[in-house]
Amino acid sequence: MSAAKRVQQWATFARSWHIFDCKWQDPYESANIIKKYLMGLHKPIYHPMNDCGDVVVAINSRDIALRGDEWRTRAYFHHTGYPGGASWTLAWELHNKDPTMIIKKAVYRAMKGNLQRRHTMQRLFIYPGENVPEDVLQNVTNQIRQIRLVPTRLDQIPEEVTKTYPKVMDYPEDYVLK
Amino acid sequence: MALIRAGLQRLANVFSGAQAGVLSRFATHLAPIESKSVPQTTKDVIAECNNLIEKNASRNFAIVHLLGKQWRVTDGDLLVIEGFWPPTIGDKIKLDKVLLAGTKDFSLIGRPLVQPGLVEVIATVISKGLSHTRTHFKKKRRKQYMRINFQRAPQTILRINSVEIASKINEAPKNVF
Amino acid sequence: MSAKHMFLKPGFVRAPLQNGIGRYVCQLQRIVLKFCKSNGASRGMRDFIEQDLVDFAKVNPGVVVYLKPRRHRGPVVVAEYLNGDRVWMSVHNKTHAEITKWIEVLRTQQGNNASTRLRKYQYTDHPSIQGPWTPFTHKLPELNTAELPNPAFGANNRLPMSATEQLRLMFEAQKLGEKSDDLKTAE
Repeated sequence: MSAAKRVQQWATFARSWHIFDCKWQDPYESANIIKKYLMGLHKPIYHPMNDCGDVVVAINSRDIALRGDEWRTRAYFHHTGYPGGASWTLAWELHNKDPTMIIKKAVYRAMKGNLQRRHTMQRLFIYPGENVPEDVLQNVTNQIRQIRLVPTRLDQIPEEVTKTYPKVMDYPEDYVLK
Repeated sequence: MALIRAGLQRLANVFSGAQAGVLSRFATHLAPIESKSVPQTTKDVIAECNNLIEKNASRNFAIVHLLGKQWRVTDGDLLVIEGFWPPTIGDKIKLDKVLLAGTKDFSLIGRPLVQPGLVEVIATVISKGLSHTRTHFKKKRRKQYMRINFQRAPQTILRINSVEIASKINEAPKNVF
Repeated sequence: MSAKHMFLKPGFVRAPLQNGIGRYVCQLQRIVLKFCKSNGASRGMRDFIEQDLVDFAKVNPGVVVYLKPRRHRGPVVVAEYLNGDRVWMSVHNKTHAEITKWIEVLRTQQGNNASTRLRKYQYTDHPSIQGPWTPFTHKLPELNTAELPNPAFGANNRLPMSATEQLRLMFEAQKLGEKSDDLKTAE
């Protein structure tokens, strides 16, 4: 293989690193997107026998958003293998114990259960907050777009902006605000 | 955040609006530069592409639609087409359904086909035979069910002789069909 | 029934001697028809020889045709190709029509196709003309210098505009219109 070809090969099959901000994102929807990057499905060179998956760094996993009252209703099942060893952990309990666990399990379950899945999961880094180690962050060359817009809370908007925001109507003076 | 952004945008708008107001006398001088440049670019690009076509600067490729499949072809390629297909050995044929054609520097994308007569793909049929024997074996366990079928599909091998961009881009279409 | 073709030699598409690039050369060089003059199994073969063989030889002057009558042996066709392949085929009890079809297949194929399983159905010497893909093909150049994570690259930019935002923009446009009118009158 000539030097130019070798460089070409290296460039085409290089692993790139992507960052994904989980803030206010549904973990189960995001998992479907993260999965594509982890497995290399977004590349035109994809082939199931071709090791072309990328690395994904997921940040802010503490701030994920579950739908409806799923924090209370979704249960994660585990069985120790011994009689009476079944346990159900609610999503909010699991999230309190380990804020990276829900997104990790979501991505794991989004992928097909084959021998490659555990190796693919090794390429997923999850951080609960925005603090990412410098050596991880400096590899990142791309950001994966989120699915939903991150809403801004009213108390985080400066007061002058709220005051100048166009009003459709004013409340009548005798209106009692509850 | 959205509100802050909106506020900033409004400020910017006010400034640009004010500028337009202030510089309204020069607006006639300012506006055409932007509005003219775009069609000029299109013309330049097309002229440059035509220049490249004339010089035949690099190898061409095309994506052709053939018997329900799309093939990326360039000069000297071999294609194996499966299924019944009338052309016989030694036939020279022109592949008309060109979906995309390109050179090293530009691509012509058809919507869905490029203009008829713009790209000429010539191929020769060099072999018509049968594939290797494929076994179709089905078995259901414990159900006394087993089927075995053998199948050989007709295969035609095509040699692509040339992929040429025959005329210039944006030229009046010739009546080729 | 056998699993013989599970162990077929896999191969890639090739054409011998750049066939078809300049001119096309028929790959069948020699065909030998072996048959018995009396046995019923050779009936179709004898019909073919009587009715079609002379025409076949006339139409294909590049193919050498041999007839080999032999007593009390089954009918066989042997085709030899330019690339050295030799295809042996029994035509025991085959009818005239079947033999015509099989000989047409032997004439038009370019070697022993049955002996290899094709791994790819296309062959090219130039796999890429505009350059192979790399992870940086068609990427935004701004990403090279951007400090990630950055909401400008991370936020969804394909959402439709919300009704509130649309109303707000209409309001802004209306206000600007009033203002520019004011400016004009001031001028």
